[in-house]
Amino acid sequence: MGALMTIENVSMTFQMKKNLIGGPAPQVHALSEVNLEIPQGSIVAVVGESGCGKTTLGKAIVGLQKPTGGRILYDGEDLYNMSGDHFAQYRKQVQMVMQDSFAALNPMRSVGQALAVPLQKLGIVKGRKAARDRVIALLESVGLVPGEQFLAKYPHQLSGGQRQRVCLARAISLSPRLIVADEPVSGVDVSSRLSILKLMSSLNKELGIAFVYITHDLSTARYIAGQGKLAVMYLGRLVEFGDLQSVLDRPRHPYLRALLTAVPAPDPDLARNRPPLPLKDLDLPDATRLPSGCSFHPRCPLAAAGRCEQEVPQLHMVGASAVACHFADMADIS
Amino acid sequence: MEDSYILKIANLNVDYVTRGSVVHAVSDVSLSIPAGKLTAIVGESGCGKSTLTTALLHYGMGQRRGAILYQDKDILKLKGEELRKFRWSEISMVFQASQSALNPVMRVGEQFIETYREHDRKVSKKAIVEKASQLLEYVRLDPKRVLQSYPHELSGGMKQRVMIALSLLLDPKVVILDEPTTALDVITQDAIFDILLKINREFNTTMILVTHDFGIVAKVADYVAVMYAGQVVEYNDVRRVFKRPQHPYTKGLIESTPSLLSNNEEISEIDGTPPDLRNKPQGCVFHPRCPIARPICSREIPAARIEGDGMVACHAYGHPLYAQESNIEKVGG
Repeated sequence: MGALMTIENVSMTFQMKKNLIGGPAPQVHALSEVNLEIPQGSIVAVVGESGCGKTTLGKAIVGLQKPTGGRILYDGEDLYNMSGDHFAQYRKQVQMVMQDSFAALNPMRSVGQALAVPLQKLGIVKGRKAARDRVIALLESVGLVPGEQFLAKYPHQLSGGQRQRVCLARAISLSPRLIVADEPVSGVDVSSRLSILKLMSSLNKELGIAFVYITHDLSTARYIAGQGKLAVMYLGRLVEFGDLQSVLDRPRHPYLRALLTAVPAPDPDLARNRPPLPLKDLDLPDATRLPSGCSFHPRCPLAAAGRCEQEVPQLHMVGASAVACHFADMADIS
Repeated sequence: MEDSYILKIANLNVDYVTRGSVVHAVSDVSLSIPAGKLTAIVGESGCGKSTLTTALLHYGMGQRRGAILYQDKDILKLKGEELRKFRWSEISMVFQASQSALNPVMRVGEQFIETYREHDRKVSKKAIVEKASQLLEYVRLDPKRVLQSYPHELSGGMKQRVMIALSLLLDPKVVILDEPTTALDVITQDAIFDILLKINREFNTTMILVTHDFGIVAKVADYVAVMYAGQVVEYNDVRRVFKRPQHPYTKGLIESTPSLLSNNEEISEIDGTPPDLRNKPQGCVFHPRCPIARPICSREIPAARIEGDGMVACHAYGHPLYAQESNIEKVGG
């Protein structure tokens, strides 16, 4: 399968306002030289802590925020250098599902209206009757059955899970090739989360829609991208990337190892008898003053003086996955 | 055994009266909290877990009926000055959003001093700062830096640790933790729970943790109370809850949690959504979503069945009609 999208050296730097004393205006490097490939019809899970740049990456992919460096290629064409026509096509083919389904839906519009407007406006269906039939079919395809019952409902009358289903129905209504889902289940009741993940899986399998699943939760990433890819981000950089299964079987980057150790196992005996976190420092550094060299070095148990604080490690293949660590091979031994 | 409980909640009901309707946020909850242990209250959003814990401080809104006994005093009967002194010095709370729990225009050090002085005017600033420094060091923060900082100068994880230190300032016997790590990443979450466990063991502080995350429960809890639609449906020792969950809702929640350790091939979700608390289902509140519901479940509210230290409120355990109806169903096809 070829690449649907190629992210090449993408950086995003935000300039902050000057402070009152007149010191230099700080910059936030939300993304630094990220390289990532999204194969057609695949699921790529992007994981990392808050502030690691995963949401910024999602926004760059859907065309909401132009990167300050690098390119995003869609079918070989530069997303931010496309003709108007092509960009309009792109907007249809790449959709987004947000974390907060309540904020993503217009509170004054019924579900039926919310879904029918884009269909009619973009000329996908003609006439109100056809639009209505199509909306019902869409609602039923995301598990809101019978669809008629949901047409007249407003967002506040639905549960979090149902609203997220409406958002997914809206996303698939334009037959996209890619959906970027940014923490789609964190606002959903725990007992319904799994059903939303299952729905996304089946949309991927049955309709061939690729997903970029952005999350901080490795367990749900494993669930949805079991056959797909895993991208681990830390302070704006991609630190590990590969097939999810092989990355989790043999995590190489010391940050990913710490992350995996920290995920509580749903078993009291396992959760209480696990080794201490392999980390030197608990706290993330300030995003406006990133550490030199490898940005993980102040917290890293493997960091070696003279190398890690000076040289930025590049992503390179170690075994089956790409890792950005000077000592990725050593991490394998320890 | 009696004395080993620090808090006894008896038939607690909390209603929120809104225009034209009444929300039964907590219905007839009876629960005893063992002293010096960590009890987790687990449930989804809207199950009444936060309403229950704010009632323990007799705090916030809602009409409360029933009793909450703390050292033979009914918290719900405390008033005025007595109530004000009671809060924080006997039971304190770490809130979910430390961001909004700390005063944004006050240095952290001043907030420690203000809190202490509200309860004891005579203590010197120096003594309070000393105590605050000890506590901050205990939660792995640098007191010199943190006491001088405004909340916005600290990260989310640091602010949450400040809140934990602040909650311990008056040596309370009970600390309530309301989803203390929801907004934090897993590494910070893990570190914060390690600190909380240490406090629990070394200071013998009773802790009540409100959460929806079974992973955290597995890591830290001694006892677990599972809440659904305003009721406690199961209570037991943490190992029993995980190894032999009794209530179908508890089972469902555990089974629907994806794990990093397995391929998750056998997990499945609970059908349906939680009920509207203004209009709860007849009989057992869980029956519309329950995979093992029988006709009796929609007619009668299941009584709490106590076995040893544990409790379960489900007709499948012991109601004679449940067994009969199960047989009929089997015969009928």
